[in-house]
Amino acid sequence: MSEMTVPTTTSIEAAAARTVRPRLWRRLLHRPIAVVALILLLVMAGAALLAPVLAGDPNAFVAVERLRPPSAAHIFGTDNLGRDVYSRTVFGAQASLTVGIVTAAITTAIGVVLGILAGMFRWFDAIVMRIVDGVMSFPIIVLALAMTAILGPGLGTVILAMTIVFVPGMTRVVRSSALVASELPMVDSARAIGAGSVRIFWRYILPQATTPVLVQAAITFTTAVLVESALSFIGAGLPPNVPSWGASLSEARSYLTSAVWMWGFPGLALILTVLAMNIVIDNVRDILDPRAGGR
Amino acid sequence: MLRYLAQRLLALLPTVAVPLVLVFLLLRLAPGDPAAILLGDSATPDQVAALREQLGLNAPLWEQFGRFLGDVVTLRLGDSLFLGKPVVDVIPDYALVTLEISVVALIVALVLGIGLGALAAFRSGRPAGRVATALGIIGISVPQFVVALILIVVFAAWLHWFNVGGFVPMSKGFWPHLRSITLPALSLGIAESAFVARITRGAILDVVREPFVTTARSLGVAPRRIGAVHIVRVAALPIMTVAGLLVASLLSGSAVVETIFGVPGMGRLLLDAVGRRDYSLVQGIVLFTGLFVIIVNLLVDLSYSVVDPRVRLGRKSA
Repeated sequence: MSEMTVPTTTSIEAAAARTVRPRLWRRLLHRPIAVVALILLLVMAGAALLAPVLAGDPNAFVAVERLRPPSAAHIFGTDNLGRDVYSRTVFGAQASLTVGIVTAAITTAIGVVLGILAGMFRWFDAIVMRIVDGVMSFPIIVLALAMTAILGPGLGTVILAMTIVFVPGMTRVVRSSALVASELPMVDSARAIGAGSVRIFWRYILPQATTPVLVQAAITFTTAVLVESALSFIGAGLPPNVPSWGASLSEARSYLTSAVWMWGFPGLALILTVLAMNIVIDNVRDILDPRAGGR
Repeated sequence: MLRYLAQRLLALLPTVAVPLVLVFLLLRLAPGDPAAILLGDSATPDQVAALREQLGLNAPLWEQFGRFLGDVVTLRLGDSLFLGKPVVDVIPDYALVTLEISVVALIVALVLGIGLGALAAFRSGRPAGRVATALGIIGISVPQFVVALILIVVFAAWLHWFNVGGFVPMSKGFWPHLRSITLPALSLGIAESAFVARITRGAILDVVREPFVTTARSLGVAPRRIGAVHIVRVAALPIMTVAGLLVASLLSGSAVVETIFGVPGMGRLLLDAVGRRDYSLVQGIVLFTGLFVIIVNLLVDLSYSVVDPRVRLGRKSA
């Protein structure tokens, strides 16, 4: 391999990566709605990280203070067991964001490897994409419930089930951007100067897939948060001692009109988190492809 | 045409095969003896051993898998250990209820979603379009069970139009039955309509930029007619694809919504089966769910090969 020519291609690639990303951020920060959404996400992340500082024990209960409306002592009121709804909502952020981030991270790691392999090897592509298409269309909650029956309920089961259903989407995204990127002239020139396929993928093709992968990871995150809340709602998600927005909403079912605060606050936190992420995703897509018209 | 169908069927096979293989493997490899769990705490070791023999749990894994495959193909799914009836006899009643709710929900989702999406696209940039677009993104962020809770508060608690938790079977009269499934179906349909709306909006905005639309406009075709006849027909394809995807989402959601409204559907049955660790029933439901998704997707494929001959000739992009 000629050492003379390598710096040229790497600097082009580095320049490309350098110009696209900051411009995306700057353009995102010029959109008021996206800024509001990003701030909301920061608030949720802050609540999740600082939950023990911001709120008291979410499982502590005072039996005589059941179903109290919001007051100075309990700003979000108390639930049917006399627990502080504010504490449970703040700690719920911890549970939801953890499930969302861990699921998105595992899905991304596996999806990137499978997607690259599918982009590199024809035979692997044929097998994997068949399986991938099939798994994508299986109802996730049915799969998660079936797995809960066998593995028992818990965080691990929930994340495992979601990963199985979400990896295909990530694999597709990585594979298609790898296929597009492999048509680029710089890949040809890298091959011409003798770079091996692993190096070509790592240095030239994968960087092109970064933004689509990040968008897909964000989609995975929102879906994971929604699915975890649904599973916890029907009692097949996180264990009962872990405060979860979905579980809080489920506990409020007998008090829908008499204690609106019991489900209003956790419900709002759940919707706002997902909505904020969806707004960011929409805006990023819109910036990347203005023709798509903000789908 | 037959070849096309066979190809699609082959492509859809993993939808049912992968989850089934997964359930089979997890069941055998996970800690805990299924026979001991099934019989409960009071069982003697002899009873457990007898059940193991009866369930074929002593055979090597590959032999169990072979038998499992054979059973699945011939629909010999065993007995539900808690209901004491063959799984194949138990599921259809529940599946029909889920099917019915899903179909009503699908219609609600398509009507609402296409309407909202078309409004967002044709009035894009104007207030009505902006509101429709905003509703779309808020809609996909609200989970089905929150929609259900809101509907309960409005239509059951405030307006007293419907009862919650009183499922009435078809045999007790059509109208009372319809009334008892209205809220569950609406919850699912409204929640899914936002997704349809977003796809519809995108599809229409894509078509609006096509040259044939410009041509039609230059020929003096009325904008209303271009919208209704030319654009909507072409935009219908991506919307139909979504209908296939929606089925998975509806089946997921029905597990949640059936629990809220006490509807005896497949989702409820699965949740109960999970609680009792009724493995034969769990396996059966996974199989039926997979088949259900495959059938709907085949129907969607068929319908757009009828609408668009290009699809049949293999010009469908990957």
